[in-house]
Amino acid sequence: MDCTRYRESIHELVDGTLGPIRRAELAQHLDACEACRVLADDLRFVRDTAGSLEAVEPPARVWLQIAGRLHKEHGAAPVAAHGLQRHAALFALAAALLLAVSASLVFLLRDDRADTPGARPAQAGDAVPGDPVQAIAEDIRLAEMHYQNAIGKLEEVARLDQSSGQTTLDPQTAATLQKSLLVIDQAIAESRAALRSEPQNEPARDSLFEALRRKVAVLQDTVVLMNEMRRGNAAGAAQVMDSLNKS
Amino acid sequence: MTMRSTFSTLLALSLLAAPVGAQTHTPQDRGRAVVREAAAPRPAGYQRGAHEQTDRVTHTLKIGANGELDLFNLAGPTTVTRGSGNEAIIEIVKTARGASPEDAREMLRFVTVSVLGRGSRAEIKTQYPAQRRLHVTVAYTVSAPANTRLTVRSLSGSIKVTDIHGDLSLETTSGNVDVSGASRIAGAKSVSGNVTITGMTSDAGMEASSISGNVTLRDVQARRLSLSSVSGNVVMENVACERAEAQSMSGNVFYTGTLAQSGRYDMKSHSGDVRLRVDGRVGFELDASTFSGSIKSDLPLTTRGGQTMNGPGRRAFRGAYGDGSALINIVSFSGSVLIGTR
Repeated sequence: MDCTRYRESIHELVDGTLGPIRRAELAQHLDACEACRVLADDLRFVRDTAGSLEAVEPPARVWLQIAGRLHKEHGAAPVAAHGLQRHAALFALAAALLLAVSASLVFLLRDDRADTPGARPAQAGDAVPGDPVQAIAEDIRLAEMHYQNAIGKLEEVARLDQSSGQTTLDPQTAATLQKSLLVIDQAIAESRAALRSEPQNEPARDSLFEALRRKVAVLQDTVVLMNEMRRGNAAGAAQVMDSLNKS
Repeated sequence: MTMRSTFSTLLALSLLAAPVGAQTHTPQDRGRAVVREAAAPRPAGYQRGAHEQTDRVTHTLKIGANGELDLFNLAGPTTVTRGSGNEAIIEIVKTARGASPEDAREMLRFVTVSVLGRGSRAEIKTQYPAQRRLHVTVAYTVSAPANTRLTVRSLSGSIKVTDIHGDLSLETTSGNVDVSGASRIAGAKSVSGNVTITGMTSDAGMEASSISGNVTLRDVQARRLSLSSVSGNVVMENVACERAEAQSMSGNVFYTGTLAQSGRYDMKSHSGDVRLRVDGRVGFELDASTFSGSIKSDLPLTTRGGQTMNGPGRRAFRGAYGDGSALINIVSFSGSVLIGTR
């Protein structure tokens, strides 16, 4: 059975973007193929796990603040537009996990809106009075909070799996993943410290969100790997790894 | 990260440990050319010892010039090379190490391999019994037609593929992935091993990643490259591509090669250096930034205001070289950024 040709459709099925004809074709295949059924279930599992996160929409004032601030700071519309995109990208980045796992379009729509012809341009009066540096720091904090929520949920899933008493990852793989998470945590800590000293520093901001995004990805992989090991040939695979590690 | 890329990664890892039981088909429901080696597991474990026993068997499957081969291994190396004709020849060597020759022989019986051929498709799977400790590895040496579509998944073991031009999907948890002379790599991934791609010419994109190992490309031409590692280096030597995305958290990212007009190159590292060496024939626009590192260019880069940037000490730079037709984005939080010539 050629399952590879259905993988794209399974992704789209989970994404909710699969058309009716291919959906029917895939349904027929899933009826006959347990492996693909398991795959689809797993992808849904990951989506649902992170999908339980609340999709937090940043207050509308945030965008008005940003646009207004940039307009004030630079005094030129093109520069303000560029800066606006930067900030939009920041939020889009922060929302990447939510977009990925819960199909929330809040931030993308917002990002699109900034680029859409006819979108409301930045107005001088949009800025809310206050310290722009503090306001940007608050924006970053909000964005980071989304990531940390996702990370917390995924870590919780991993802990639940560990405490279930069932075989999960072999020690070597677990150690590798753990070490990688420490590397990422170090990057997060360094970026955060840098942002404390320079809240508007773009490399620091980019690095923070890149590290957070990476941590989410590694945790997602870990959870799926654990889940698969538990469902599938966990016992056989685990004993192989156990033997190798102890030999 | 898009959902697609997220799920591609998840798919890879989910397939990595795919339920063998669920994918094993009986001869009745899957047709011909089925070979099954089976033994009933016993509830005892074995000590690893100095006595080695091997069991060698070879299968020949007629999969055609453009067939598909799916191989799942648990422990042991997998080597695939280009053969001739329409047949895949699979040599399977099981090796057991026990406290006595008898123990080793007995262990061999418990590890089973199913070889299933159906038309142009072949599936090979290694299966270990649960609830016992066996010191058995299985080595696969495969010779397959050049255009075979190949999927290899392994939990612990290296994967080496040479001169296979069909789609390759190669994944191992613990072990290196080495590919040379390929044409299409859908994915080459390892959790704790290195991934090395050599001598590839492709009109498609390719994805390679490792969590703790290095990702290295040498003499590669491809339309799009997507490369990542968490703690390893990402190295591209003598590479030509239209689009490259390369990133590492603590490792370096190096690119040596040519740029394409209208090409796009995104390279990031948190604490590693990012170095890009090009031949200078294609101009580019550079957007480079670092928090605590430095930015240096051996090429005369010009800012929009007409200033040039030479020398170290810059923390952010936007400028162009030549006609500025390619776009290069580089970010390193604490590492240095270097643009140079080959």
